[in-house]
Amino acid sequence: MTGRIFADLGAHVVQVIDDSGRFDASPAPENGAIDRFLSARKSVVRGDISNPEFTSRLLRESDVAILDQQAQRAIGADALPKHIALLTLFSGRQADTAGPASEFTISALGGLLNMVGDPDRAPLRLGGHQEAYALGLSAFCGLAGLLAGKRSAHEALTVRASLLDTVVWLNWKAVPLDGDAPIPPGRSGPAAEWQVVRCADGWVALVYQEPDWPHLCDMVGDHRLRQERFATRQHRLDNLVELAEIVESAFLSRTRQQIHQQASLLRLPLGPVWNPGEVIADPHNVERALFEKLSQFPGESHSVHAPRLPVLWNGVSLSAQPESGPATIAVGQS
Amino acid sequence: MSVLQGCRILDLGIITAGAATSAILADLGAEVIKIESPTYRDPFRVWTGNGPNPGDLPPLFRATNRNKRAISIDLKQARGREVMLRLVASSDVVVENFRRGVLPKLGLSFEELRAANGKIVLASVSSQGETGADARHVSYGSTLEAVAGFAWGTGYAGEDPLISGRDVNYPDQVAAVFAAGMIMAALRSVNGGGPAVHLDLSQRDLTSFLIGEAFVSASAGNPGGRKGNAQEAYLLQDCFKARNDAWIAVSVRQTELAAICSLLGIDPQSSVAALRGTLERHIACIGSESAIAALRQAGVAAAPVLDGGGILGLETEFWSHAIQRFDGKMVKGFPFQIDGQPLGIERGAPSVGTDTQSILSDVAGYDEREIAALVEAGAIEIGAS
Repeated sequence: MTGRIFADLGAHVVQVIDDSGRFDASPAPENGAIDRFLSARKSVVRGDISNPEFTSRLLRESDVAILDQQAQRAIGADALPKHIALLTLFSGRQADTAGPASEFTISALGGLLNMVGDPDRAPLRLGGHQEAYALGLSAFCGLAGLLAGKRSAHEALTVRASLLDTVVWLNWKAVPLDGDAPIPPGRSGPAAEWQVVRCADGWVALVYQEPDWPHLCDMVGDHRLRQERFATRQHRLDNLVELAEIVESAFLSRTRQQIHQQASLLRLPLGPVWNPGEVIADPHNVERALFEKLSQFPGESHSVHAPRLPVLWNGVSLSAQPESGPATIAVGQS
Repeated sequence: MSVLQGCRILDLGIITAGAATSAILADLGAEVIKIESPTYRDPFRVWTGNGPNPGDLPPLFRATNRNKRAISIDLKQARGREVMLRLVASSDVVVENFRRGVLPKLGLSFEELRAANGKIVLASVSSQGETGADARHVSYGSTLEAVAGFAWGTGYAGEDPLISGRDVNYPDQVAAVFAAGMIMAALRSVNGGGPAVHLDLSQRDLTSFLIGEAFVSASAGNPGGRKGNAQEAYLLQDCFKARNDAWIAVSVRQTELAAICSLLGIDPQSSVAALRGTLERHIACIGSESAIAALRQAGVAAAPVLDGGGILGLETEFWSHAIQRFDGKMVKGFPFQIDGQPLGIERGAPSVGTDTQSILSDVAGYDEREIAALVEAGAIEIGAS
């Protein structure tokens, strides 16, 4: 992810794949979609990363290396460029521990798994690869700081990004920040204040804050919501299962599009659940040119779409017109 | 020496996404000036905490505003706007996450900021972006999980979609890390001679980007959907309940099949369903610690599902910088750390306008008489120090 962002910013990013067989191979995605998405605009080089001749030639002209501990040990500190991002599972006294671990088990340790799903069923992970991708964002952020810093340009500096620290940082509200406060509750399923309810053609995220409540009552149009047991936030928190059932019963006769339009008119933060195909075709995303076509593989008959870098730089997509982006930097990735 | 020392950020960010973006820049050593108004505060200031002292700042506000100074300016007044533009003239970055249209309405559009400072970086951290049909649609993080395609892939296998909800509000968290990184990329460009930059940072765009592979799959006709805890590259991955009612997360790769089958005493040719059933029964009969130890001994990834108390129990041993302590209280820490130029917390979150006088004097060059006149006109507010 870190390299993908730098590539979209105009850097020459080299993805290095060790073919010596002496290191853990990255898990192969079932359909190559992850690799297709993350490797867009990168060059790929294969070789033995513990071979000094191979690595020194590769790293000699790089500004940055993004690597894990295995690669760091294999290459050796002297061969690395001044700025590196070292990705680890843990920090603290177990910073050198390599596993066994997965995104999923780190998400368990960081409490993120505890936050999603029903309280009486198995904890659930978020969709996709959020732990690893968020780690990539962390490493990008740290490296961007080094590259922007006026005084750090000539110093050798290492960004340390650990998967567990990243997850704990994302899930910071799970920790009682006040000394005497109770441990915040975890997943609450049908009793969650914000949750997904069904509608005529799918689902809608029922999201609202205190000032939104009167407008939500207007939109739902069921007199039961105006009863005393829903009058204050505390009352609503005490009756969330019933509240969601009332809203759902009203929404079952409305489509996602109808609900979206009504919510827009009333300035309500409800969200229709779109599937990926619908997201690609959504007029809002089309207008923002969020999706770009990736290069087609030989023999591939369909167009492959993926989101561009999620920023417009003076109104322009960087991946669409790299010449309008920032000054080019070279990044070597292991 | 901090990475961003010498860099000045004007922070109009509120609640999480905008304020947390500036907080990361402050942690990296930038001088961050939080701008509120005599008539409008960051809503996080009134989201009360459960601390023993009612006078304490709420924990959510503390978490995302430490390391900042504070000024109070009424931007709706012409004289307040003038103060703002004088600050812009001697700053590097403006961060905002107002509702779309508010900043231009205040006479502080990118063009107007650029007129005051030809090197300014304006970071607009919005829900849905500066443009597009839904640009003015009100949203919170979990709204965006729904419309970005994220919720579609979160949930129990074959069941309804789910969102991370109010207690995580996932898009708000990742938005700050990405936005801070992009601001620094823009700073590098400007410092290298490039023009002023307006960054249109849409949380909705980012939320879709973070499931980018789902759209690649959808392009090939695979609509995806909810798979529970299963994940490509793992033969079996799920949570299992141990005898002591604790949940354990387990990920089994194909390469670990022989070892786990040996542990469970079953044929390595068994089906995944049979492996799952046996593992479920095995873990249900023993305590979570014993189950995890045995699985890890076999080379299988396994860990307890922790709550906030369990997370704190791993501090210093397994994580070190994600949560910090300042002045005896816990605050949000750092998503990464830098050797030699460590991120740190030097000051707690400020009260409203507590640094108004010194900022106007030191940064904008106002003298005491001018500051008094601004106070008299209600264009600024001097808070208690």
